[in-house]
Amino acid sequence: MAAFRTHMLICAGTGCTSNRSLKVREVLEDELKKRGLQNEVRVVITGCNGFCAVGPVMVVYPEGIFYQKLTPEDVPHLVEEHILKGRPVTRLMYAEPITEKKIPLLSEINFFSHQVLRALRNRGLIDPESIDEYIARDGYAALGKALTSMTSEEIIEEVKKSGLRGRGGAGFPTGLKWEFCAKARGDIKYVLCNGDEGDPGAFMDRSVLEADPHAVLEGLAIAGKAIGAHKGYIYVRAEYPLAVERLKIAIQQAEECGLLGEDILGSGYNFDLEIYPGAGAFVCGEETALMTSIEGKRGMPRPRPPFPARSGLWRKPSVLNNVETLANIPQIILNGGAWYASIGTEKSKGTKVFALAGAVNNIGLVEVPMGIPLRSIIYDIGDGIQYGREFKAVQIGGPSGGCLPASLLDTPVDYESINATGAIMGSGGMVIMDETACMVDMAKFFLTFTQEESCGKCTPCRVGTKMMLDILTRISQGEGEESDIQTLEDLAKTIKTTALCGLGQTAPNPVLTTLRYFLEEFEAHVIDKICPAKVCKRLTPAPCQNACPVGIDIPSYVALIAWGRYQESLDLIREDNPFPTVCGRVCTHPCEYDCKRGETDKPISIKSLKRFVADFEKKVGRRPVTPVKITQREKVAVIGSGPAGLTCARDVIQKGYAVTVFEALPVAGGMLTMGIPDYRLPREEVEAEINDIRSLGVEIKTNTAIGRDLTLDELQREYEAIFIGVGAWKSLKLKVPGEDEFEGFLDCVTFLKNVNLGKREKPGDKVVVIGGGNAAIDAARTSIRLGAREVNIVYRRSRDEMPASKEEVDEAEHEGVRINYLAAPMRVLGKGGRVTGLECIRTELGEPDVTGRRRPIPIQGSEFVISADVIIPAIGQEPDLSFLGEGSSIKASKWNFIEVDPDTLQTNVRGIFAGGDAVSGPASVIEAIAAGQKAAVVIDNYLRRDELTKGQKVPKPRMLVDLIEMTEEMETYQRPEVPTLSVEERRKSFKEAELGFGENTAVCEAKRCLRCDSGE
Amino acid sequence: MVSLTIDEREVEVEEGATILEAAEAASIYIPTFCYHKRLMPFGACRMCVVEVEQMKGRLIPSCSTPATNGMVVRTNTPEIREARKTLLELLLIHHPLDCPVCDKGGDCKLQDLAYEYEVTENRFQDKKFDYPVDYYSPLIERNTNRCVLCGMCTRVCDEVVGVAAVSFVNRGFSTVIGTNFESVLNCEFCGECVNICPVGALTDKLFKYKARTWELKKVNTICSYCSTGCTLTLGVKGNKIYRVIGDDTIGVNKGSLCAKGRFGYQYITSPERMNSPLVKNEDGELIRATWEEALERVARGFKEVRERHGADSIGGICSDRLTNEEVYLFQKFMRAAIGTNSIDHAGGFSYSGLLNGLSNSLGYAANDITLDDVRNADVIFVLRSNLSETHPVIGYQVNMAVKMDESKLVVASNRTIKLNRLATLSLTHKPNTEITLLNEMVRTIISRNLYDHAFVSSSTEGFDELKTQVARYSEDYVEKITGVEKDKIREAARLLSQGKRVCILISSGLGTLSDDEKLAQAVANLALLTGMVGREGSGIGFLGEKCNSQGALDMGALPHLLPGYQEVSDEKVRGTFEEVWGISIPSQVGQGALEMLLSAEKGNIKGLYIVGENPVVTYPDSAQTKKALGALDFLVVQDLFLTPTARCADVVLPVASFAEKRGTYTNFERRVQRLQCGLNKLEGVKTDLEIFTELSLKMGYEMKVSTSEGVMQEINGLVPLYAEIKYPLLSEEGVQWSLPSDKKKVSLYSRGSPLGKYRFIPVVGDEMAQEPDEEYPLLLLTGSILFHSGSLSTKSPQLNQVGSGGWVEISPEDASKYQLQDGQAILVRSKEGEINAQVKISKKQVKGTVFIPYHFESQSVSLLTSKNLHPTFVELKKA
Repeated sequence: MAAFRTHMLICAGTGCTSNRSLKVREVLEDELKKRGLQNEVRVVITGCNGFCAVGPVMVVYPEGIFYQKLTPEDVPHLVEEHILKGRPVTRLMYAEPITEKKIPLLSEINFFSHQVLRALRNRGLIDPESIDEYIARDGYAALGKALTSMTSEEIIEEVKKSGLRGRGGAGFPTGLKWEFCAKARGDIKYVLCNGDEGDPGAFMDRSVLEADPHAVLEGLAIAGKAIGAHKGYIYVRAEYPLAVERLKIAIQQAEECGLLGEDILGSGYNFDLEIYPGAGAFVCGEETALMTSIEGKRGMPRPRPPFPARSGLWRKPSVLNNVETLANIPQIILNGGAWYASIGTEKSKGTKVFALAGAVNNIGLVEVPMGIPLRSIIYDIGDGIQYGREFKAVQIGGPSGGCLPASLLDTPVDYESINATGAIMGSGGMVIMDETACMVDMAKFFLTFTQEESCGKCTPCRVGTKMMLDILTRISQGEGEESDIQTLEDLAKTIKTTALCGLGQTAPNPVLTTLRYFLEEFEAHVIDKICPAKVCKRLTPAPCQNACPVGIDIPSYVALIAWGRYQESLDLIREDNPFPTVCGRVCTHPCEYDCKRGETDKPISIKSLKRFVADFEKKVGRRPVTPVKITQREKVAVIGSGPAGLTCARDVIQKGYAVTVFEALPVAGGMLTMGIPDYRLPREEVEAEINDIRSLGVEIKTNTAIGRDLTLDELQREYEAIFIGVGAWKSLKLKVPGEDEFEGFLDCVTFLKNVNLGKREKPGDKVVVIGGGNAAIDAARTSIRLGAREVNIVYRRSRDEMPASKEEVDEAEHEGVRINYLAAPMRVLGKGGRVTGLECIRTELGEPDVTGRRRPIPIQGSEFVISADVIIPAIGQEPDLSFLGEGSSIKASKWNFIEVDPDTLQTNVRGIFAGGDAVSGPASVIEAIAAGQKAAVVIDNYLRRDELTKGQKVPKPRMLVDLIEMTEEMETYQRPEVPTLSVEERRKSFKEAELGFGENTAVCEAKRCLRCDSGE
Repeated sequence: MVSLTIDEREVEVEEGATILEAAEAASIYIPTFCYHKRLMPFGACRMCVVEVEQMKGRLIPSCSTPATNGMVVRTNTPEIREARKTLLELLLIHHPLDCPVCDKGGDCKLQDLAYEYEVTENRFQDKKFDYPVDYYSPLIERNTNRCVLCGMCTRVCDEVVGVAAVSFVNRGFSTVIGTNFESVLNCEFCGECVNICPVGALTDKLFKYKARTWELKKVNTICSYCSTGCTLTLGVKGNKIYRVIGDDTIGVNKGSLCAKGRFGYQYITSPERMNSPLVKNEDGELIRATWEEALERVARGFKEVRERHGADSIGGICSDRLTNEEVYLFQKFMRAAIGTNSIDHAGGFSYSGLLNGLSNSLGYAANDITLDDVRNADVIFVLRSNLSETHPVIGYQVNMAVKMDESKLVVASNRTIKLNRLATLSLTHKPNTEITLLNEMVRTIISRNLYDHAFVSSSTEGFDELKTQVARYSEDYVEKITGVEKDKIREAARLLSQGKRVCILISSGLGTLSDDEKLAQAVANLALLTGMVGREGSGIGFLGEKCNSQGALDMGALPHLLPGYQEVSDEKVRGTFEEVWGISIPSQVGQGALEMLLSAEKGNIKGLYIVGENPVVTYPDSAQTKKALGALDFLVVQDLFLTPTARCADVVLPVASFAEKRGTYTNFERRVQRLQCGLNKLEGVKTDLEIFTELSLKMGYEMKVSTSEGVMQEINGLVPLYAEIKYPLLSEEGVQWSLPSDKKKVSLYSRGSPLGKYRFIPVVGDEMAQEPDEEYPLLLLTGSILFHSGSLSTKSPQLNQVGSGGWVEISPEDASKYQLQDGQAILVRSKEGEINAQVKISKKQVKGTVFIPYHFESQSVSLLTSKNLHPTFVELKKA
């Protein structure tokens, strides 16, 4: 025999082959020949190596270096480096997933080093199409021993001693099964191999049949001898063509060698084997169905008893064993039962092969000793969860098994322990799930499978599993009722106790175990109508809705516009947001940033569509509002009539409570009316929406300041709950020299308020606004309109960091505002008591600070001066909490914001809640509305049940509007620009600058929506 | 025996019994959908689940779990009830609940169980099934929407009937019971599926919207078609039969029926039935007459012939569909009132041949096996018989024995038949070589020393002669003669000699042509050799064609035998009869049916009385028959219909059907069973029994007995075999004659042969005499087909719907040889005559033979055959 200095073992299992491992081999052999190495290096094709996820794989001996993900292109380099220069190629080695450290040797890779190979002992080592290589590794020695020196009883005794149990899943002791059959009366007996592996994701049997077919043949022949059978069948799925092919070759070789057929090894024992390709029915893995199938009938299970050991194939005594079980037999006979039983647990001996799959780093086929904890398989061999995510559950035993949570990770892998959890060992499927998996969806997946694979014979399995699936589907679509969980469990139990065969009896397991270990997730689906893992489409808001602080069902309102159902669209918006008109104009529209269409195109103009329906209603006549009937005894007070307060008031009154809003100013609306300039948000638009709230029955007392006209204590006496939404009206100081020293220094909020109250006077000729928020832009644009000649904005970061909305900044620039980016105020200059300019310094951006934005760093020596007669700092506001009075019991933060529990919005005083800018600092309108909405939920719970619950509403689709089939035309629609007044006009007047979409534009725009909400 | 506790009660059952059977034995009720005692356990519906203390954790299906010693079973705990209720809910989700218009309403298991388990609401909701309903299949309507997937129809069709016309299709929730490629049913239309369906998924189309089941009066009576003797349950409302069902608690058939029994009853209400006697006027036209006129005319006519030509110029042919009592009175009328022994029936030239042979060999002209013996046999030899068509319910037993108990089946046939599919061994032989085949089997058994030495030496005689005679055969010779491979004959001999419970079945009928007497003796030789005569569960079964083939012989509708196989030539015998009848009986043996027709043509028979027979259509050589009838001075025909034979008559007398009269039939098991009168007679007709008594009186002889029970009492006294057949003793199972009335299973031969020793009678076949010539190259085979029996069934429109004649079956080889296409119109010509037919190319047919059923008036195969009963050869000519 020729000797080679190097052996290169290339995997030719189904996984690697499908990744072109045979091409790699071909190129490799060519390359070796080209370099004249064909007599030094031998290329060997092996069966499945197990680490299929990184295929094609190759192991180079004698070093044992493991290469992965090979391509034919890698080969010349590999030969050059490794074979010629003796330098293994690091690039092609396996990297440890967390540290990314390269591990050259197979034996040191976690995936391999923790395994114990028995059934797979020849994997990756021999050519499965060569009986010689099998024989060279002691192949057929066991058969020789069994036939020539052992009696049937002795064989059975040895198998019994080994403690081997059925690896197909049920775990029946193999030796005992053989003994029953051996003792059964009858001249003709059969031994069968079950290779009808059908669990989704499991491929243990396929791998064994492909990698080591002779082991199975040898196991069958020994079993045949033990029970007195002379005929065996291997039932293999026709979907395993490679396994069938290798079996055929193996049988032919064994026959040629006299290891099958007549008078094997001169022992006088005859044994024939036949391959029976199964047509791919999962139920045919059930032993009686498998036999019925071989008999040429429809593969349906038969009742047991009679058990196959007595009356099986063609009603003759028969033994059916799984591929893996049989692959263990030769070693048991050769090395003795005691050897086999030396590993494992008391009742589960030997090893078990699993197909490790799912969210684990190392995916592949693993063989582990019985008793190893699940944790070890997942974390040692599997190297933990992918992408650093959290482990959530492991589905063990395939569709017949169960789903186990993290708390059971230390469960040892043995039949009894696994059964005790409600799962089953099964044939070896092991699917790992991380936090992104939904347990309802998982249960649904497996039930869909078993339901379809039911043979349809017995009622509980045929109809029962369908009904379970229907219930699960309902639950996953948000149509579940609370009784469904109980019904599901009851039905699952009935199916388990009454179904005819293993398929039906175990089909409910995934549901029962998830109900047992993940009940809260079912309840979230059924009661809260949410899918916490965001998997169930109908319970997961579309990205836009998810991004909306108040969770408006955006896809639906957009879709309604596309259908021309404008009023319905508006009504839908109003369910969550009382200010569609306002938000249609000034919303910061976080929704648009998450829009899916925006990923490849421009996002949908969600904000402008909202304005469109609101404006449309104005045209057709505002829908009259019916006053709410007050049904609750308790009364609620709201302090502040801004968006937070009014939203809270509306939502509270709709629950039947009488609500009074107290407003210090003469006009209701807070920042909506007093902060935002008219050209952006005309006063009458806001007032119409406030009037709607009034019409519901909310009393708004303007000119009523708490702390001045009424004390908080008085309020507390009269009202059972109070919501504080006073906003943040105090501008922050610049804290630079010269501040407050000169005239011409305006407070931004006061400036805007005064303008809104009617004081339309030019502030000065040269205005410098400091800050980058919407307030700063508003002050600058207002100044232009009031006649200022020169308006500068000074902002210390770049445009990208600017908090003001992009359109606002654009518009400001159009209107002539000069924005000085990367400039920070240093000193206010003045002369004669009047402001003359602002000294600034250039900045550059450094490392991000706590806000995540890059910190501006002054560039020394870059000082410059902007001349000004008016300076308006707009760098932020804080609430004016003076109304609380001296020594108020309500706690404020050190930044002077009211402190609340973030979940419940309750202040430290029971019954007093707060939200909006007063809590968060200056923020957007939509966030204020969200706070009011949240507070209303909490207040209701507080008043009704005297308990504080999370007020955060989880957004969920309120409806599913029919899809409009997207035409090519719709696909090519462009996001329209919003028409505006001309710059000249704008500069001169406070007329609304944006004009809104026309109907046609709106409908076309709405049709651009990709409808992520449909779940398709 | 196994003893266990069910619901706190101690129960004992036989080993191997299931829990369900144990519960049934103790009258403890367990609900089921998919269980039937005739079928193999299936375990689909899960309604029968029980709790077994030793098998906790799961509910146990009682239908498939064997009872074991000490088992503690509970059948009705709250948990079980809950599970069953859930199962019912699951079934009711998709079930259409169209009970008000469902034919099964009131007789539906799903209804009953939903009621019992108070399924008043359903936790589960889904759309109702909306599968298309098969309205297009003949006779049976299949409504998948109502199906509960119990699989009973598929199993009864496969395990009992052996057709498997329906089966499970699709998987999972989409599983339904369907036909191949969703075609309409093309099956045997036995309706077993309809009978067994627990819900309204399979219904009887004839019954649809006719009556609610609870309105029907159930009348159990005996089928009037073949000799199996099945009990039918007529559903009667008003004076009409609305349906026929099989009741699995009664009858030899245990509820099984064939298409004829179940759907073939409508001839009773056929508008073609005669309701008035007809008398031929001077112009030769048959015109309506009163009974008085007609009977007068008959009496006068016979008297005139007798006066002119003597009593022996008058003959009588009756049908073996008459009751025992009627046959008895008929032969009494012929012998006493007319004074002749020329009496016969159609069975007289086929079945009687077999039984005659049998009685020569064994001693009795009757079978010694039962339907149960066939079911329980371990080896069944079916010879020259398309049992599945001629005696379907016996065919079911064979199917069940093979399918459920793996019994061995040997089929020897001259064409491929349904049983070939089931057979362990198929011997397809050339026509009319049965005797040679049997002789070779006999030779094999002797030469291989497989015979029952003890039995042969102690109980038989003639063994040496037999041995000598069969020694002339050789394997090669027989292979050449019969066309059967010698290995197969050897194997058949081996199987037969090794069986413990062996049944040999041979059917007979108008279509069968061979030397019946010799055939019976050849069979008897084989049976004796293997020691199966008198052995429990073994025996020969000769199967008569008609419902009372056995009774007609028992009652002496034969020219040489008085009732009870008593020789008319025996003076002592005559003396006994004469004493009771009060008149002297002619001692001269009379003529047989065919002989009578032949002599009529020659002028030796002048008057003929044909009762229930239709020789023009069914007897060989129709042309001769017509000529013979035309030559008569006086012909009386008594029938339900104005048949071609009746049209030749001088007087036609209309009679009542089997459902309108009382009396008894004797089936192939010698079982005498009572007919129950389900309907009032059609107005204008009389029963045969009434006619015989009234006519006799007019002839001047008083029968003295006028009721069927009275007749039977007279039979009791005169026929020793029937001595114990007393109406009060004839329960629903009937009584097998010669058995003691305690009805213990005893062989006819339990006291050995009445001959002293059984006789081996060497026989040889004369197959060499039958070779086709160039002009007529094809051998004509004729016989019954599945949907018909005699010509009576052709009056049943439903049976004609699924099976009507008009074709000639030929082998593909001959079709290509004579260049014939399937469906092509041709002329079939023999020496005797010719008929039109359509070609039907069939792999069932052996080269050189053609097959034409004989039932049909429109395609009378009798035009081709001859009365000498020799094989008929034909040619096929393009029309």
